[in-house]
Amino acid sequence: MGKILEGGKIDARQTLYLLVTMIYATLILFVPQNTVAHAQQDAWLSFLVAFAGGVLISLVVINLSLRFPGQTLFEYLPRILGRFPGKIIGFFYVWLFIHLCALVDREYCSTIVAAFMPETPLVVFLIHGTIMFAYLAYSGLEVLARLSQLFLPLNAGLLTILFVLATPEMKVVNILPVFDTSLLSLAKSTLTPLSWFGEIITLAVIIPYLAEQKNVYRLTIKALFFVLVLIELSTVGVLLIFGPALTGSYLFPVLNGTKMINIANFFERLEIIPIVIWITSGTVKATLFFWAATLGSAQLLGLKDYHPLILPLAVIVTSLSYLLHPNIIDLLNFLTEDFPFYALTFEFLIPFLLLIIVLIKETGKK
Amino acid sequence: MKQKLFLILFLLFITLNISGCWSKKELNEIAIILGTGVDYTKDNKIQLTYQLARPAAFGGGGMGGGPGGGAAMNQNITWVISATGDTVFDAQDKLSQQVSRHLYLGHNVVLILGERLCRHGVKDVNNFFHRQPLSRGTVWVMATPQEAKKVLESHSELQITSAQAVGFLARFRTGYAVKFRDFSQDLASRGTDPVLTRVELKNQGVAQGPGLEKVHHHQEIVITGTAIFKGDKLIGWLDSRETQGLRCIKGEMHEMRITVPSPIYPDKNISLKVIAGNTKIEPAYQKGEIKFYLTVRAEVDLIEQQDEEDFTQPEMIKIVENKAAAEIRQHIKTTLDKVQGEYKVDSFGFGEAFHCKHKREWSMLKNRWDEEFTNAQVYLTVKVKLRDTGMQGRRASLKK
Repeated sequence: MGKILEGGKIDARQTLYLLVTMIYATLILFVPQNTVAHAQQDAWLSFLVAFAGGVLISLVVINLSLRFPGQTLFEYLPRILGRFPGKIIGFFYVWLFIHLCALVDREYCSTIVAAFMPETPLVVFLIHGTIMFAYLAYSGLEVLARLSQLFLPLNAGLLTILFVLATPEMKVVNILPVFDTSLLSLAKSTLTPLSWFGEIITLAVIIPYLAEQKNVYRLTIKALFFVLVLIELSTVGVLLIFGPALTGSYLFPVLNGTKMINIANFFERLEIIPIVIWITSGTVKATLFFWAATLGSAQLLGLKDYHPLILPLAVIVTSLSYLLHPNIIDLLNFLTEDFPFYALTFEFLIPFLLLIIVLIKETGKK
Repeated sequence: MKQKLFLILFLLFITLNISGCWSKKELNEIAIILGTGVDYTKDNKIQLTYQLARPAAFGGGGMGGGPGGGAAMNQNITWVISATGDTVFDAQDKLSQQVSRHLYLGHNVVLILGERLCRHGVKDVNNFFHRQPLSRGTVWVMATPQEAKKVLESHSELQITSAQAVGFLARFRTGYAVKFRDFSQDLASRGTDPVLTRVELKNQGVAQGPGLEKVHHHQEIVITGTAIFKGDKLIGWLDSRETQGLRCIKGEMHEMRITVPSPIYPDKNISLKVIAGNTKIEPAYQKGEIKFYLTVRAEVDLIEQQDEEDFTQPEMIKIVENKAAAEIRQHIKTTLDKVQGEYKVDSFGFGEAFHCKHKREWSMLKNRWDEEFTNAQVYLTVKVKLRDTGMQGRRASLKK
């Protein structure tokens, strides 16, 4: 058994922070633009729908995981599906986590390159990012959880302050009229945020390392709700500043919103704050996926230690994030058009089918 | 041993990386742009003008100088350069071959568009200022009937540069000030046609000082009204008086001044200042007819009276309030007649208000909104409240 693979234990509060950071980090970076482009000023509504979907996904994932106490997704997959098919699906999940990690890495580095340092090659940032999260994954889950405990209150506070400072630029008419979007566009706009909320599937790897597993349901829904608050704050905030047409056209609306802050011709140019928020939370997010991928492959391969896998996987992630998309538009198109279907297969469809299989097996035993 | 070696290599790596940024540009390597002007030349090219700051002169050797004060004599505080090209960036590319530093747009204060360009359409040029990472939505955008290049080739007597001076004029809301963000929003909206502040370079005042006995006429950038657009094309101007009406309809009446004839002595006047005001647009759609109910509320202070009305009398205050309301109503009527009647555009955001109330009808009307708006009736209600009377109750000369 791979019990000693990861010795860390995280408490309820750390889990909450870790889960929130894992989802909101890139959610407020790329998603408002796309959601607003589809749903116009009703984007806040699509996040509500996506939140409901996220809760549903988390219920499935937690219910499934709690049936196999002390085991991660990779360990109980073979127990449900049989040794061979279980491992194959398991490797698909390893791939998902590698891919997610590469995407997160790429999203951050592309942002820095596009908005701040257009002359610096992308790969420089990618390598730095990789070194950072490889080191963090080496330190283990406990360190990562403490890191999110350190950053999340800071980031949530900074984000709130930003939008409070931007209130002189806001106009209520920008989010009116409500319910002006057709149901089809609303459904379209919900998909991308839903796939982000669906990243809660990572919980299936984290659950065995929770100090107490009694309140997982409440904890997770609390985390998702907190994410909802943060994303609504950012999206409604930028909508109030720019209105739907401009918000839908900017690549990073939150960054543009920050640029509008100008208090008394003196307190301005606060763009560094969103970057601080994005980098710190993004590091936690990328590391969590990376850690899940290394742990998963170690467990699937039956290794006693996952640390030797860090270096090769780091190389794979870096090259993947560099090679997957030729430019930022391609990355955005992938994230908004293909990614939801691809991600939701892993995030909802497979766990849902697994749960059904488990339920059938249990009734069969009786 | 191996670990030590690794540690040393790692430390070396870190020192290499934290020593500086890759694309760093030191302050002495950048040319700070304070004002940008874009014109459309006779041979259909884009002419880009930059007003560059020369910070070395800002310290102000000799007399004057210092932050906020005018610059020292005979020092060039700015350098105005321009080039033509097929696009804005093409023109900037030519400029970068003339300037020994990196052109830095991050501190740009104003964007001035020449009349020829505005009449041709601004969509040809505004995209550059969206895509450029350093450009900001807080830049003041203005239109000028002159050449934007000529307007930027000026200096200010009070501020260090003319670009900063005109930025302050906009900030203090002396006209209808438009930020790049607002302009872009209006351009993208079907329910509002954009407007811009109108600026001109004018002979303005006389600069005097010791050694300046020979009268020295000075040209300064001044705000002279508003530019009215249909879509992205300029179709006409409003003068300063008509701009007041625009401000009333848009609900941006703060700091507006109104002068009304005295209720008792018709050839004398009373001046009032608007302290706060807001406007509510209530649309109605009945049997294919569009109506708007416009409610303007303003709080005013009494600033000056020419004759001896007794403002300790509540009735008198009531009368002045009504006079002021009539004046504001007149302002709005003049502006509406010109914009709605003559230019046939909706510069006020009536369309947006209609969109908020009548979503379904809007989807049918939005493509021909300007025509629909031209036929719409606007009903006015103006309510004015006198709040303060300055530092005086009644005039000292007023006999009991």
